[in-house]
Amino acid sequence: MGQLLEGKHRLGQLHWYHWCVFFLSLILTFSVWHYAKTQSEQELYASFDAEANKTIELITERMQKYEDVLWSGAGLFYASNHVSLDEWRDFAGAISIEKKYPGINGIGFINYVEKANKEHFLNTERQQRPQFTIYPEHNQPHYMPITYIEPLKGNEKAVGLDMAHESNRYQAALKAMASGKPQITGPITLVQDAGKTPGFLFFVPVYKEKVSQLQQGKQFKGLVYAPFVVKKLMAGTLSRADRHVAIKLEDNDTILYDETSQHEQSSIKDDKQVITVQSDPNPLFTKKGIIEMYGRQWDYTLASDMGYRDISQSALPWSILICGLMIDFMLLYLFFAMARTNRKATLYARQATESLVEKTEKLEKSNQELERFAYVASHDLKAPLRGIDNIVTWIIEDGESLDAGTKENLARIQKRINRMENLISGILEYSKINMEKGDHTLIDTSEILAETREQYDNEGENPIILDGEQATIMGSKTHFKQVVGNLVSNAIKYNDKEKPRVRIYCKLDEEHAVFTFEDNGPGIDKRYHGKIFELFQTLQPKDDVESTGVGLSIVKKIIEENGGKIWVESTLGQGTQFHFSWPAKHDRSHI
Amino acid sequence: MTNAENTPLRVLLVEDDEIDRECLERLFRKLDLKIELSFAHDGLAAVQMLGLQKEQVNNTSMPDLILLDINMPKMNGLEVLETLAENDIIGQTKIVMLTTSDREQDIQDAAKFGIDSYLVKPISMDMLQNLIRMA
Repeated sequence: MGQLLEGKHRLGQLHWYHWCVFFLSLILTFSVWHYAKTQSEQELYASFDAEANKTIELITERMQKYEDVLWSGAGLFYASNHVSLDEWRDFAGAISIEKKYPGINGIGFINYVEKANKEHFLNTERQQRPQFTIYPEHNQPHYMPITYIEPLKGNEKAVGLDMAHESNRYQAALKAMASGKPQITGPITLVQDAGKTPGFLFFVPVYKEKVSQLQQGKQFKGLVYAPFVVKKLMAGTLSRADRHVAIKLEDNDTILYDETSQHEQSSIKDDKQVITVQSDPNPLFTKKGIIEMYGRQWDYTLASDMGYRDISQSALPWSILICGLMIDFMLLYLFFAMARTNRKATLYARQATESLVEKTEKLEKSNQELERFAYVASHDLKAPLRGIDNIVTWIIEDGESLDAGTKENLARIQKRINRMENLISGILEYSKINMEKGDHTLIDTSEILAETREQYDNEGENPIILDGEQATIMGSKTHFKQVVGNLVSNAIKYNDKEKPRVRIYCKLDEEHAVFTFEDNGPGIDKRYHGKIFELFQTLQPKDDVESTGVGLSIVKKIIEENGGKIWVESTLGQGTQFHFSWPAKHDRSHI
Repeated sequence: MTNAENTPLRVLLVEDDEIDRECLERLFRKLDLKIELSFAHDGLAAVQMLGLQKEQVNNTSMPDLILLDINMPKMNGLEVLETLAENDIIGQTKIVMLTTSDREQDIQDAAKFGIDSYLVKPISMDMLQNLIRMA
């Protein structure tokens, strides 16, 4: 029982290889999940990067378009000596800025006026526009007032504004003048922008004639310009509805435009156009860079919006992870279930085996007890029987005067006593087989057969013929002698021929020696072939031949006890063959 | 052989069965020998008769032959042998087991004490004659 309990404890657990498989599958699941996640992130980043590049490209392209428009405005001044307000208005109307160039606030011209020419200039302009004036006051050596601006509506405040009054505008204007290249200003607030949001001006220089760079300062005529409110510019440029990057533009740490810090959905209305970017407070990806923008450097920051976050939470890697984990834990459960089933089966088997062993032991014990009982009982039966025998003998010895009838009856008593004694001896012998299996040795059968044959020697005549192979067998010598003795004595005792014959021969097979005792007796009817081996079964009347019916039972028991078998072949009237097998020990080393 | 012609052979039969005792007596009578036969009805009686009780001294003269049964009440044949061995009597006198038991175990147990012979009942005239000749 102790062993059983100990085993129960050990059986309840999973083996190391179960855990190994489980952890390997866990690792596999996480690797696949990680791979899928990385892969989808990489794809996502690639798409972000493309969109970011596209956004920057859009802005640059748009600015180039504006540059082209400004150059065409400049072309107007090269084409004629003087461009009137009406001509400028026609030009602006022809290019229809509002429709074709959304984002631009207007297109205008800034005259370069030397201090000495101020009055002349004002007089000229006031012929058409009496209110025209240059403002505000400043100490620069020249004036750069906005002369024309179209469309005028919404830009009224800009008319007459002097670029030289403020450094951002002035620096840019001077740079454009000196370089002959387009130039934008740093961040400013447009006078016409009621919202006071960041903006800038875009200048293209115009000279009196096409001259070399060195002379530009003196021949400078003015600037074609366009004012921009960055918000409106962006609205015009980035109006695509499916944009998923937020942009932030800075010029020297001054924010020009910022979508990234607007946490709510931002919608910028510019007439019909609406930009919708749902910015992400903690963007998945960001990209920073610099755009060279007509003499200024714009720092840009691009950030992925909430849309990316939605895509990044793509189901695939997570479903891989969840399914994988489910399978892993199902595996673990399966292992546990298997271990439990196995444990139950083993326990059941153990219990069954134990009870079987117990039963076998009991059976063996009761068998032994029975045999012991038979031995002791029959042994104790013998003593009083012998006493009776003795007394009968004494009566016969002492009673010479007894009549013939009494004497005959006494003789009959003695005969029965004799038979009783034989029976008891038979039982004793039978029950002794198991108790005395002590000697288990190699037996030289030819020796024992020869010894038995000698016993039947009768003046040169011998009914026993030894034939065939000789064998060395394993078992009890006493037992083998008993078997041979019984079979030979039976063959002769029951023989009805004048010259009884018993032929004994042996054949060897793989593991057994098979002995045959062949007699020329009366034969045994087939229906008794089973019965003859049963205890106390005889085929002839008890008084004809002195027989107890124990001999063949003993023979059978001994043979089976030694690991062999006995069977009979016989036809009535044609003799009998008893065959029995016995475990052999083939010793062919001498051959 | 130690006996002179006229001295009867002293035999002690230790046997609990009355018929067996008479049977042996009849056999001896038939042999017509000079024999002084005494009986002990069990092992304990035999030990007493031989004067092997603790307080007694070995002063009784020993029989020439002891015939000893095994299965007896009070003290069995093997226990008698043990007492005889303790008193160094085995060897001084012939001891022959005369019993119904032919169990290997009994034979071996008795043999350990150095007995002279082991006979299984029933005893025949020939056996008895051989026995007396030996004694």
